[in-house]
Amino acid sequence: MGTITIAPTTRNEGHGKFVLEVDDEGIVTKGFFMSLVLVRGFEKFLVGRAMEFAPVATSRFCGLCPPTHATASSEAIEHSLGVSPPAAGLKLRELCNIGNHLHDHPLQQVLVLPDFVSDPAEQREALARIQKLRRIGQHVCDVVGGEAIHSPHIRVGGMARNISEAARRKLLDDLAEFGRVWEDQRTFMEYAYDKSDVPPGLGAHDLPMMATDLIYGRSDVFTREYMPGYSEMLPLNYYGEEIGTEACTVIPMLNGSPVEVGPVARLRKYRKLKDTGTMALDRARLVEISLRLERAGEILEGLDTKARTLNKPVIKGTGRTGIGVNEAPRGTNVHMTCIDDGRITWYKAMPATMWNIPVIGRATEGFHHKWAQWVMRAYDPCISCATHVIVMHEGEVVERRTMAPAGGYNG
Amino acid sequence: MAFGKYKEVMALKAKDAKVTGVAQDGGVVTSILCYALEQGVIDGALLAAKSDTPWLPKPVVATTKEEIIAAAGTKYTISPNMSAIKSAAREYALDKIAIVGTPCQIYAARKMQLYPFGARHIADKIALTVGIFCTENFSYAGLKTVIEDHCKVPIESVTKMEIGKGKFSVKGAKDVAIPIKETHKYEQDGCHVCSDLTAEFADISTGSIGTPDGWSTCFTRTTKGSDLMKKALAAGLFEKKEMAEFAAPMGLAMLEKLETGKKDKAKKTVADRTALGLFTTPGIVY
Repeated sequence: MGTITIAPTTRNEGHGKFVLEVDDEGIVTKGFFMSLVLVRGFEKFLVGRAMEFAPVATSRFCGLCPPTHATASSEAIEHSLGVSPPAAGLKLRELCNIGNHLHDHPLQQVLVLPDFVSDPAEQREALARIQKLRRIGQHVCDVVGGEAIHSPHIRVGGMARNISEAARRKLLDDLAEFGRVWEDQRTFMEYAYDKSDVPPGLGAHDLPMMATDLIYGRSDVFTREYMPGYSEMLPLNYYGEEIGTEACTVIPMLNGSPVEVGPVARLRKYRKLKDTGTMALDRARLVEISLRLERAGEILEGLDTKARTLNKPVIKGTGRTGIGVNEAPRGTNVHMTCIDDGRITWYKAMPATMWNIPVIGRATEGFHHKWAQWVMRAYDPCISCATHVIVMHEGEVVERRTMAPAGGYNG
Repeated sequence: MAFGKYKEVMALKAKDAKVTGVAQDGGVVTSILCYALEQGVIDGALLAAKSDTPWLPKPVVATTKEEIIAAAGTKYTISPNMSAIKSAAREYALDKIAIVGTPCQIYAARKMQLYPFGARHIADKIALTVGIFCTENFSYAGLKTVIEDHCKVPIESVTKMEIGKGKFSVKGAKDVAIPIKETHKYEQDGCHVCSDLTAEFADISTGSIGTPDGWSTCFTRTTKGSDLMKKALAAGLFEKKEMAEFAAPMGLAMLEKLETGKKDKAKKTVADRTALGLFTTPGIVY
């Protein structure tokens, strides 16, 4: 009987910490995973700012997945104002996000490679392939989004620019090259996963899952199916006073339970996937790369490069809460906001990893603690993204509190 | 050393009538860009194209020969060509970009290549720089005043403007030439500290000074510029003459005289500003 602490965790984005209660054999009986990344306060400093600043600012949640936040931001504001982008704008926004996924999903393979591949030559070859894939994914984002990291073309009302005909053809060529390299890399990873000695059932749990779309993300699905059950818990209450004071994320829940988001959640809901657990997640990411590659080709084939891509909002605000939901690489990313007189009056973000953090801890239970980081890496946590505002009252962390805007939820 | 570093200097005149019909002088810029595009050396160029307002240029990303030819001809006013480079590298997805510009714009391109701040993955896509000779530039309002109030020609009727032989001349509703002295007060103030007339840092630099009408003086400065020009000459794009054919006081002597004048004026303006206590850029190359 004892407690195992792993801090900081390795081969994931941001600073994570495991506190695992284990039995005499070292099997985890109670697993806690938490974020140690300091709160940055985006949701506070966004209040009072012009609404156009939201996608610019929230891009900076993360350097790996900026498009998901700029997109969720823009859509939350669009939803609040009651505007929507032109069809070509939506297509390009989806394409920009796919470009991001096509770099970010392969990146997870870099992080897990040492867990599954021991031969240095094979590792080097795999890394070379992964970097080729990532360069192409980032190039798509460069061209469509205006920049791979922090895409300025993602705007409230659509996309700032369309691409040129030549660019469209060039991207199709790039994706063909991606497909060729991906064929080799996918086969390699499947083989590496097949011959791994990960115990069957590792990371499997019976917590509910959430997904709003196979690829892009649908705010209406979240609002209808999941929002009504939403509540959250402050970390001190969730983790307990002994370990909870270090934790920097609120614990979001549906119907009183943490929920898993991400590749398995998406494929389970939209592709009837049956498997769950660590290996299911690692493999699901391979499937997702192929799906996104196909969808990107579809978008480019049908793209009208002369069409308008931006509907600049003319109204300044309705005071209504808008919800923007985007399926980020790691899972469902929810941004919510109120706009009044062109300015943000309230902002809240629940990114994918925020949902997954409590799940990661639970998923380590029932297996030896040496597998804990394998479980974590399957979720590819992006801890900086997850870390957002803690509510304090007179210097004390409040016992239980649900955050809601002044007018209540009416999205 | 006069004219900066260069490998060769020559007088050129384009052979293609489609080019000479629209060219300012020898059609060097238009020809060399069309050739480079055809050969795959570049996949696009940042040019000063025509806009809806007469003689107000608009920076464009040109990706076809037609667009390059349509942008031919000097517009004696500011055209921020470099501002189009991000578009070229992003939504146009170009990766071999040609930049045409005045000496200061060539400076901007070279600086970007050395210190790509705010220009990630952009400067490495610059494939060719073509510099055009420049003594000074004008604001659009200044240019319009010169043409309409001094030359008394409506600007929308102007078909060609020229600065040369000590005169500013326009061809339009009337053909008028005024002494260049009259235009001095409309010069952009920043031009007075500029020490570069012949675009000393471009791959290829060209302009009208030193050669007769219909011809251009051309410097090849880098291996890249020189190789491209050799190929273009071999392909029969230009008639070529040696600059020695144009003896003093014309030819290179004229160019050197104007260049010395510009550098001396720059030194003096910088000295005057320093004496006033104003900030002046350290390390200007003269």
